[in-house]
Amino acid sequence: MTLENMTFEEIEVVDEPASAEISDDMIWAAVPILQPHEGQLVVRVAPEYAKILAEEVFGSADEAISDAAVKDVIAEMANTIAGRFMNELVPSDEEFRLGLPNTGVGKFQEGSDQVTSILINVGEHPLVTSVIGNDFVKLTNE
Amino acid sequence: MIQNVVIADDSSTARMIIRRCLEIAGCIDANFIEVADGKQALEVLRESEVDLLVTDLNMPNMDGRTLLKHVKASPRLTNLPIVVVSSASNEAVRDELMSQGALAVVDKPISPARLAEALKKLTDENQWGYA
Repeated sequence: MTLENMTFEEIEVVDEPASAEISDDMIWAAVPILQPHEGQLVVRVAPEYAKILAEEVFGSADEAISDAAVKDVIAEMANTIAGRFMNELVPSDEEFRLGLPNTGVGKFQEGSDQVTSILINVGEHPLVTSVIGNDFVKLTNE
Repeated sequence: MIQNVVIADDSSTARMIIRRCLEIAGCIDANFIEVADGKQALEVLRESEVDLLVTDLNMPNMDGRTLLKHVKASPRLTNLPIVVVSSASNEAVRDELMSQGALAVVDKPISPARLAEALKKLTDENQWGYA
């Protein structure tokens, strides 16, 4: 039983989502990437699907899940994804550091750094994972 | 027998998953004390009899590395088994934490099997009990 297999869904991966698919009411969680590269990993989830995820994780479809609990589930998801992403990117003998996740609802301010995003459609629900940071684009191009 | 377990993680989701995984891994009758940072964990450890500490690395107020150092520096707590769970660990971090006295380092997403493997070290290495 892990966060991965508590909820098992069929997904469709779409590279580079259109901006229209990143709606302004999504719940987002951003994990700062501190070392050795600087940037952020951001997970954005449609609010209705975030609630479904939280209910599946906490196993309480009959009880109301607080907004804080829903955001926390997305934050922990983003935290786990960021860790696995950095594990793939950074040599195993080199340390990497992540910051504490921030969460919010609505439009996420990406700033001026380069953004690379992947859209996953979980049924009809979009889930967008983005890596923000010029360092990561340089690594992609190397 | 593991009776009292402290789980330190700033995420309530992570604490819940860790608790469930520990229960499945064998800590069925344990009493779980959940805290959100290293400072709270240290306060509980100083006031209570605890058999196992499971801690995240990235936490506000006091992170897992600092918590590990404080616990290992305390004569009363130095033998307390500590399992570190983290999304931000790789071989370099694992080596660092093990050299500082962690019993095991488990990557997130954690699973009952990974925690059971870590807990098995308690029996194998006779890490049980502390002054």
